Amino acid sequence: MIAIENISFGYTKKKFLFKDFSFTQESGNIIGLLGENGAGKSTLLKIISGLLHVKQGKIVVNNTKPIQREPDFLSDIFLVDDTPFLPSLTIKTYLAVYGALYKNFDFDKMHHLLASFQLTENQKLHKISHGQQKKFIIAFALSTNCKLLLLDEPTNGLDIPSKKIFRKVLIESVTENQTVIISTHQVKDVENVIDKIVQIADGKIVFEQETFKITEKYQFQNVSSIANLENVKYYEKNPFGYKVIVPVANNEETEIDIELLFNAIANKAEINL
Amino acid sequence: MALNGKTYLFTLLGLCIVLFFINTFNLIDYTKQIQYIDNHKIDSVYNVNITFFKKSYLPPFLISLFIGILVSAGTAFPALGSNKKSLHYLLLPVSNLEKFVAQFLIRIVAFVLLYFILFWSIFKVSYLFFEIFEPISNTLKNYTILDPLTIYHKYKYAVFNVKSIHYYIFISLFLFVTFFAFAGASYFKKYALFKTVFAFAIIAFSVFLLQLLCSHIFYAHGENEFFELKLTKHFVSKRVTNHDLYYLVLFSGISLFLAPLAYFNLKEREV
Repeated sequence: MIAIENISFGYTKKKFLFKDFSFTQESGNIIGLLGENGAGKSTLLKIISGLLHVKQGKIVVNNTKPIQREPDFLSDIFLVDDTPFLPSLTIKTYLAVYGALYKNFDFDKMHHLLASFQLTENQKLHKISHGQQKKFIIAFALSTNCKLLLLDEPTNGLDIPSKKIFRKVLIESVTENQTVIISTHQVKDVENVIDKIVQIADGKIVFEQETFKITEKYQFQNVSSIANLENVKYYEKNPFGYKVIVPVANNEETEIDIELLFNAIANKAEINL
Repeated sequence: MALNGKTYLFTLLGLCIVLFFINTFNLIDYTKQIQYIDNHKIDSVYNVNITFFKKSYLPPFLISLFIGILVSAGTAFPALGSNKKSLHYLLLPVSNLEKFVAQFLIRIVAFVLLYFILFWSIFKVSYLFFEIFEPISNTLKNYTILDPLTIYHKYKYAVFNVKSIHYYIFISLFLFVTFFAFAGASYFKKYALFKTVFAFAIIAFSVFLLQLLCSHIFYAHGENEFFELKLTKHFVSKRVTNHDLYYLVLFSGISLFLAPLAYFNLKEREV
């Protein structure tokens, strides 16, 4: 579904953001794309959606070269930007104008999602808050039923109840033949949603693994002391003691702490799978 | 239309107000021309119409049409003005050709057609307004939208006489201005119109300098003739000079490349 082979890209000729970067992804995953600020998460999403030309290498998404921006390709992909542009229209008019452009757009699903996000059709898109705009565009993106959904910082601007609803509708809406890539630095917001983690740094993928495989091998614990613990892969101090990553013992799986894992990888801790 | 309907409506209203003032000043100017004709006793339907058309109707019509098309085509692709809007626009599931054609039809074809009708309609409104204060020749009362074309053609004046090369030079110049502005709008991000005009000024000045250089290389220049272009002029046929051909080939030739250039600018556009 996504096949990126040895691409090189940089905003300036002298400095490459990606060099010989490769990434392959089959359909049917919700992927958390993690990385520090400036790592290239948003750029990667733009490359995948065909908004940027790559200097070298090959990129195929949904059996098409994204940069050709063919209508069929574009109706099967949706990029939710961090600060989306919404014209001065009512929700109803927006749906009538733009919904019709997407071949698999589901108006019933859209109305259901609007209700979930407490939005009504008569609201004017340019007069609602940033958070409400974000909720609207997420609902619209999910209703397109596109094969590839790219979400760039989707939870930015959402209040706590909305983040909860976002996670709920995302899990409910995404089907097996859809792929969702969520680029975020607010990893806690998508912790229970994603089933694969991809972390990028210095223009390379430094970590790529499915979450169930991580929890099969590692435990994420809160402990008062690390003095008696053996084989601690990574730890962080918190007000109650320590958060640690240790190998699984007695086949006991714990919930994944993505923030801790992210920091462990960023600090080059030895996380082998 | 749903997206830009309000913008188009307000632009249309603004244009109507501007054209009303232009046409009213036209009629004020026209009454002076008529007085001249009366004083010299050359009054006739032909003279009244021709005088009005040549001196009062045509110049402001053409100047405002050129400015209008420059603004209309130069502000095409408004969605490409910012990254947020560009992202939304470029990812719409519509082909690049459809996006290009939509802008071409709205910004150029529809504008030109609308402008002919609008200018004439506003002229009629201005006429009624003017008549409240001063009587105007009856011949203008029945002035139709096609009169400018038919009168001009009938008496073989240069611009709308299809047998004259100036007609084709005029058309090619119009196309050149239109497509240059259109290509500029698809290339530049912010302040596209301003940048397009600036780019045009630079290119025009460069062409002038090149011609000046050629003139200095091939011809002798006197003391006070540094900026004088000494180009030979000769007739290549009965009514066509080499200068006419030069401008015709220059404007129409470049126009042929500018329209595809606008399309490829859109196609290759990044965010």
